[in-house]
Amino acid sequence: MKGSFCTGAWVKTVACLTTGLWLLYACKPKPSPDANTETAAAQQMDSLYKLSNSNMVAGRFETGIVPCRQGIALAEAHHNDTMLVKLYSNLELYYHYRKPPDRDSVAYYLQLLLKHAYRSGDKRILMFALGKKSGWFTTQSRYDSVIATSRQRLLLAKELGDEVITLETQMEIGYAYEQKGDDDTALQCYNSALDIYTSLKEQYGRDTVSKAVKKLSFLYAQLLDNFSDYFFRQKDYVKSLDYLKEREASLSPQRRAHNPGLFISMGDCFEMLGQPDSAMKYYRTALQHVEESWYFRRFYVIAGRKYGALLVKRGRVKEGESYLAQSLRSARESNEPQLVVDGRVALAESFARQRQWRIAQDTLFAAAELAKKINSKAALASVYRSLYEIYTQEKDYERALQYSNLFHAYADSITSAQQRQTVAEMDAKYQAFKKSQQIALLQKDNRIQQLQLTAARRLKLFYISGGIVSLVLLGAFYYYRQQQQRRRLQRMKAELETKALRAQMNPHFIFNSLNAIQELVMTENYTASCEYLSRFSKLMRMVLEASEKNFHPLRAEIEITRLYIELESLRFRHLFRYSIRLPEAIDADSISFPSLLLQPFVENAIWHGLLQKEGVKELEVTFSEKENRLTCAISDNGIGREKAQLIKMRKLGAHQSGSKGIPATRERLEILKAAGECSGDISISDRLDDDGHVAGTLVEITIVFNENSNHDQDTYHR
Amino acid sequence: MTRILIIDDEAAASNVLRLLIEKHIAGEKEISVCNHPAGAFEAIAGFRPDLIMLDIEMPHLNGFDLLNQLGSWDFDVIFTTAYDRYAIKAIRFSALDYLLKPIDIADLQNAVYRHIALRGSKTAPKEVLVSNLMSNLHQKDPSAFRIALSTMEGYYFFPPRDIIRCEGNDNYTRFYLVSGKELLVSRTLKDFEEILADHDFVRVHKSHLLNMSYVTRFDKEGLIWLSNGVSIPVSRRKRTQIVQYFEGTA
Repeated sequence: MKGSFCTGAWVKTVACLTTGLWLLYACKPKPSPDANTETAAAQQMDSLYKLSNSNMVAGRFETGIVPCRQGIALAEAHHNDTMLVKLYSNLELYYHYRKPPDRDSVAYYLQLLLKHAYRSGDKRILMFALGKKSGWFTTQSRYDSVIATSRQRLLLAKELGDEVITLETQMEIGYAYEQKGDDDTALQCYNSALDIYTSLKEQYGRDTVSKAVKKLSFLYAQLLDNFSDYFFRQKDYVKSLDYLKEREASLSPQRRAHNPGLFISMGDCFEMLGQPDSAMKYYRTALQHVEESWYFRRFYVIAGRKYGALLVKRGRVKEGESYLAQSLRSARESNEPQLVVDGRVALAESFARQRQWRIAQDTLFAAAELAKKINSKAALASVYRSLYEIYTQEKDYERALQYSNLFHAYADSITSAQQRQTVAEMDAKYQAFKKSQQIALLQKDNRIQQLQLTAARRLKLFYISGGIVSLVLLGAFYYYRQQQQRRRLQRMKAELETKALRAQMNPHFIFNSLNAIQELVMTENYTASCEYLSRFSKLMRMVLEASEKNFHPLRAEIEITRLYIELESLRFRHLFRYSIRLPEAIDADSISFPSLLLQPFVENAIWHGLLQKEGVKELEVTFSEKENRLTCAISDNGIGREKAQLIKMRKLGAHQSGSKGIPATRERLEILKAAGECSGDISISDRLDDDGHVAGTLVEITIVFNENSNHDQDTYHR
Repeated sequence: MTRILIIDDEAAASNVLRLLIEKHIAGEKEISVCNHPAGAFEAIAGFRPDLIMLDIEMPHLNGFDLLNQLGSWDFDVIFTTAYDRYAIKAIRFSALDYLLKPIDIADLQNAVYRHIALRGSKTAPKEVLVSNLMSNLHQKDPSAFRIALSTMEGYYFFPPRDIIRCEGNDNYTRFYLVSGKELLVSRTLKDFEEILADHDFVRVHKSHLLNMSYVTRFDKEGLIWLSNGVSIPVSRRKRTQIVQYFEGTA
């Protein structure tokens, strides 16, 4: 069956809605000069209506209903009939598309809407209301009422000189006659519609932007659909396809997705022309182009049904039946009995193909019941034809004949010789109109050709530039990855370094120093406390500065060492003697030395060598240089490593608080070596006295500078 | 009359402590200072202190060693240290007092006054606390450490594995033990959260600290079920942390 049979009703509903909006903008209620509050209320109502309408059009009914109800309350309070008509139309729309639809409410609000439209005395509003009413009758398949209402509307439109509405109303009436099976009158209506369109088209000329023109081309598209329908029913599928192609050509690419019905119709033509592959292609296109909105659901139903039926015919039964079942489900949801009938027929045919006669017949009987209820001759014809076919296949010839007769009776009422004549007349008229358009079309063709040429050139350029760009991108990506890896390695190194550095300045030293200062303050020894404090802060500042670098001048390293020893010596009341020896030959300002390398060793010498010992305690730090080797010797006359280790081991609760400074320093030297900056070596040995007894510890730190390494103080500075 | 002995190898440190006590601790007191850990035994025997302010970090003999060598204690101890995470952990675990150097006057007052206040009461014998600290320090296995819990009826010592959960209520914490016993301790849940953090205890809620080894289930409603059949709510903010905990151990 033809897909666009029922399209009209739906297209009309939306058309009504948009026309309504358009019309009502044109006739906003005039504010009465004596009441400012009235104006404010009117504005508020208007904005509520607009908010509601925009939500409704977008299919967000539940959101749209809220401002609508608020607006109604306001409009009723102000006795604003015009506004009430608008708002009731939205309320009616809400109940119509709600799940499940509330037909009683729809009828009720339509009545209210009409009442207020008459009361308002505004003819445009009345025209709008009548449009709503005829739309409602269309969905109810009450075509006589549609015709009566639309005639009333047609008179109003003519009176107001609104030719677009005249055209629309003519088409509505035609559609109603068509549905009633009275094709003769329908064609007369379409003829006059085409006349109006032709004259309007000339009138508007080259204008393609204004709302009226958009509406006009919308109606024209519908008219083309109607024409193609006729030829389809006349079994002139080639011609029907021509009209559809004309329609397709008038579509902009963006609008293609909004016209699934067109593709369905084209698929129908191809199917009838015996080209199932092309037909399936178009059905599939339609299915793919159907949007997920309430408005397009019926197209989804039709396309799915037809695609499924074709699949079944080609032997892909399972796949096809799933499409059919899905389509029937959606049909039920869509609240259109005609669609349900068609869906059942298609499913029955699929069952029959698999020789499941009983299920097929039951399905068809149910479809016939529904078709009778909605008084659709076309639907009944299709059901009877299917029944006839099934009984024939089942070899029940008596019943087959019975349904064959029924089918022909209905089918004949649809097409008649008289109609054919009218069609010829209409076709001639259309051809004449088409000729007048041809010149414009030719010009358009020329332009299209030009555009295509440029497009081809552009495509070539695109491929070449695309290739270059992707190569560059690949290269950039590779480079970026490399860089990232290098950066990650560097960051890892930096982290390791700072971690090692942090471990070096023992918190013990910091807090003990502060404690010593506290004591000096408590004993009111202000000069000493000042001195202590300034030295401590100087050391802290230098350590902070050094901890940001890997290298600093040897001078700075010596200064840190000196300050540290001095502070510890002060704290222990000069318990030990110390000396730092730097030969004149060494240029301490220009040699860069790994920062904060020496302090942990000095700390170790004081705490674990000297403080454990009785008697004279001495600490010596001596620097010496030989070629590119710089050696720093830290020597104490303490108790020696072995004893210190023993004491350390023996201490309770000390097994987790061991010094981390020296291992950290070794680790750091390894990193520096790996980085190729310098190599370092730490050797720790016992000092022996004349009798061969251990008399202290000697730590020798040797730094070998690479000939080529030219490390500025900030070489590895992050 | 309170007899206070300060033991610190650094003269400066002991000096500052003495001055602070003299200046900021009210009441009758007698202070003695010992700068040589080796001479501490004689000082203790001669001075017979009620309270010893004992430095932990000393050459030759640290504060813990000194106590260890004493063997018996009929005095209270307040430890002093500049910085020693491990030692502080051990001290808190054993419910003993400590002061950080440089000394804060308010901290000093709190610790000393608490000592003075408790001296008269029945719960006075702090030797048990010190002896528990000593046994903890000798333990190589941290899971065998015993936590000291001070209650109204005296001190209790339990390894953390005997505790199923703790429930906080203002300044009190209620302990639920494996044996079924309940103890009310006058310290905040936050204290115990810190003390028990290394022993697989997790704060799952504002007022709940759980021994995770007794958790049997974490359900979708956000409840943690313990092996004794009790369910504990997990606060919304902690849920991801708990999930991570289970994923980490799984």
